[in-house]
Amino acid sequence: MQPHEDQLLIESAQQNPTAFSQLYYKYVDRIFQFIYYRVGNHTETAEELTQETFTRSLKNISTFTWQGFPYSTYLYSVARSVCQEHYKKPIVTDIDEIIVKDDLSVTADRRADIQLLWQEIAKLPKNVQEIFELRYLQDLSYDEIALIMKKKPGAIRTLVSRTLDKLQQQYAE
Amino acid sequence: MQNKYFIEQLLSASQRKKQQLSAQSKDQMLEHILYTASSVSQQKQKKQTVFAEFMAAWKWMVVGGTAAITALLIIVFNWNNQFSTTTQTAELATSNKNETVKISNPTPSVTETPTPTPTAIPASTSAASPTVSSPAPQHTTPSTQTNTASISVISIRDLIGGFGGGGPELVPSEWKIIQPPTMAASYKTNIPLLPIGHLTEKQMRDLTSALGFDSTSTTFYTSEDYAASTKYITNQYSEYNSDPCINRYIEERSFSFPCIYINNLGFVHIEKKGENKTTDGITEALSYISTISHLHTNQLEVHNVTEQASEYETSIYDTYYMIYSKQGNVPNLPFKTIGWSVGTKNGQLVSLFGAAPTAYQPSSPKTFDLISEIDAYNRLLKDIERNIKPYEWNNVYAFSGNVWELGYPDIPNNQISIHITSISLQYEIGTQKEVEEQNRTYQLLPVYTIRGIETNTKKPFKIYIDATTSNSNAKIYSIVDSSANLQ
Repeated sequence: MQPHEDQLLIESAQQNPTAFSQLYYKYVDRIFQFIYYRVGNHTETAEELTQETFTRSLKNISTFTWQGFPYSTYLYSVARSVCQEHYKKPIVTDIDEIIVKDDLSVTADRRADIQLLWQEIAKLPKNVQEIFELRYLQDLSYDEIALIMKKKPGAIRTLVSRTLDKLQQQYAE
Repeated sequence: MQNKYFIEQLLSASQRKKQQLSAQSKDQMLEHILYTASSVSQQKQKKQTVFAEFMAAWKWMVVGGTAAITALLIIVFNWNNQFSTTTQTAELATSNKNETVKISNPTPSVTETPTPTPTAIPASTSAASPTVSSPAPQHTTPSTQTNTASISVISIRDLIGGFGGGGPELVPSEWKIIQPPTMAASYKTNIPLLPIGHLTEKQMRDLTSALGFDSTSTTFYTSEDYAASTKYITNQYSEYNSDPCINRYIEERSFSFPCIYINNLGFVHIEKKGENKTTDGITEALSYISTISHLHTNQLEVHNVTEQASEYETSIYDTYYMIYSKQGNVPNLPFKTIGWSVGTKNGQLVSLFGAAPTAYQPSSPKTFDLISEIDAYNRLLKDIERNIKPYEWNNVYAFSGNVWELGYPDIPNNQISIHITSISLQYEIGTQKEVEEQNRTYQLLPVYTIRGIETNTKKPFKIYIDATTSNSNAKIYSIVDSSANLQ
């Protein structure tokens, strides 16, 4: 098997920490965005925690072993812990400022539907909100979400499926 | 709305407003990240770390154990008799105030009494030593060694979590731990701490020529920081002391060029076009590995990997192998290399990747005193006990990432059942910065390999426990290797 790009980047960083910059530039925007919406949209705090996330990851790069998942999965999990430690309480995902991807096929009605859907999701338990955020806003797979949240992939799938059912029923009404 | 899949489509069309970091902020943050990490590394070296980092690039599944909670526990192990040779069942029972490990067989029994007010401690801190009652004498570490170990933190909890979910829903009191059939109580002493043999420049040049590259047009590059000599192909300059083949791959997304990387620790990465040689690719690869590892080719075994490759991979090679050493490559020591990956196309060698460091015994080897197998088992139990503390979860989790591949099979009622089948002494690669020298030298470190299986999930596992005594004591280094290919 040829190695995954992230695997090569990790091995490169393990040989020379300076090479970590390649992983950093690849993922810093995503991780910053992920943190930004967890810290009350506060840019300075988000930058500080993003920096801490990558610092902590680099400190441990030497013992990181490739498991077949993008390195971002690990970064998300570290970022999650960093946020949790920062606020000394469970993570609160701030689901707002949702917009529709640039897609001309999405009509105005559909755009309104999407906004309403997220308003409903915002009423759900925080952990469900977080799963939906990771799934639909961060575009992560169920397996990746399971790793980040330390849950079983099957449990994540089931939870998402049931929540979608619930949302569908609400909309049908 | 039609159905939930339609809703899923709508959700998939969602995105957040992009929050952009300025390029200047990114650069400043990176500078700080690299500086901070570098400072930590230098501080570790100043403390004369016995072993600082394992070589993850060689696919060692490395997990370091924290001694954090042990600082808060006063532990008394009462071993009334030696373990019998029959399998015994241990039940781990816990409560908020007292924690007890009971062995169903009357002897031995282990009782732990934690301090009343446990507090989480940063994982990297040292721990106070527990009181250990043992039939064997205590040993001190030779003065030639410093033992401020600083492996990053991972715990067996993650292993357990891998079996059962890892969340707060775990019920440790329901776990069953079956002891290994036999465990030695005696201590091993005077075990040499062996450095990894470095390839000489001539060996690297010879190997380069043997691989079909022109060694006269190559340039050697040596980094004192990494104590490794690196060979680059003509005019291939890299500002980093890293694998230029990998760097090229990152830049060009292709291995379609000939490239070779050799460092003096025995790590070799070759990508080249197949040549019409009379020897087949596997014979050629065996010859190269033998040259580097000092193993005879009949000490190596070839495994054909039948896993389906991607279209891109098959464009590079059509057959893929792993080559392992059959036994340890150090006389009388159970060290075993992780193996080499080999790709061939039309029978010709096109890809070789791996490391086969060879340990050698110096004329005046430094020695370790080792704990007994029983003590290693005790460390395992203690590690389990220590890491079930919920408040430590974040600390442990932040450093995890190495045992995920175990997955999260559902175990009814979280009744973990760990059957430990054997304990054996083994050597793993670590690093040491010696007191009298300024170079970092890779060393073979003694660890006890504890093998077992979680009987609900039938998942086998290996756990490494640091086998060395320590002058700071009570350090538990659980190095969890959850690789599927357990040997």
